[in-house]
Amino acid sequence: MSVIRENLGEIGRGIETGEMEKEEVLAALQVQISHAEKILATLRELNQGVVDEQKDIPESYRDLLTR
Amino acid sequence: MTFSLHGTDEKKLYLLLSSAQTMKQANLSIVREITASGNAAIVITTNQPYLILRKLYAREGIDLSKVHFVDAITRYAIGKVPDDAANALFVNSPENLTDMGIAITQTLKEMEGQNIFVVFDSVSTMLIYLSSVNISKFIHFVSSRLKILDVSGIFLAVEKGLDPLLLTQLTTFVDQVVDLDESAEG
Repeated sequence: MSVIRENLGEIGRGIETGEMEKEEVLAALQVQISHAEKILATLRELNQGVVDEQKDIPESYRDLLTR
Repeated sequence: MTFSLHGTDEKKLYLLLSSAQTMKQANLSIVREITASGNAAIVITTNQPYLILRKLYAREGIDLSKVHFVDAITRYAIGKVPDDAANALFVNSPENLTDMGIAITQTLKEMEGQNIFVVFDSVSTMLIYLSSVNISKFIHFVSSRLKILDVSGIFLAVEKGLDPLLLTQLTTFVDQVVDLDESAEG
């Protein structure tokens, strides 16, 4: 996540200083979206693993963890 | 950042550890130093796409004719590659280590005879897409290949993002580990 945070900070600075063109900003944001989506998918897998292992988690929390 | 390749004729493999804040600067400084001394760089990227890196290097006055790219993020995240791409091979996904290995081998072959430095940016972003086990196997493959071909390699990573076992394994694949934040302080 720290890499994404730093990359987003760089994009912000690039826009602020006018150093990055629109095309670059778009490309950089698409890459950060892709990174974030992959991290989200991994977290979902981890949550699913926890839910499958721990049988005493209340149903509402199971639902929350696997959304 | 005080790490420098200057004066090292010996072909070595380095693991450069930095904070996320200094990683982009590390990439830039290293590629600038490699090309300024007349050497060639192969930048393997899973972090910044080709379009961004090319413009960043151009803005910094880096001679782009000395830089080749193996880009494993553009096709995956953006979907299309720039029409005017030069000296670049695009792999369809950071998860496709077979194609990445082929692209690296092909680029090394194309640049045979030049003094090449392979810059790998970065182990940390690969961890978003791959397990530590697969990354370790891949880095082992790449580092062995570089050793056989007598080519220098620089692996960039954010130290805090690596699991201790992977860090230990990576340490055994390279000749030198440099903590950029520590060397900047010291």
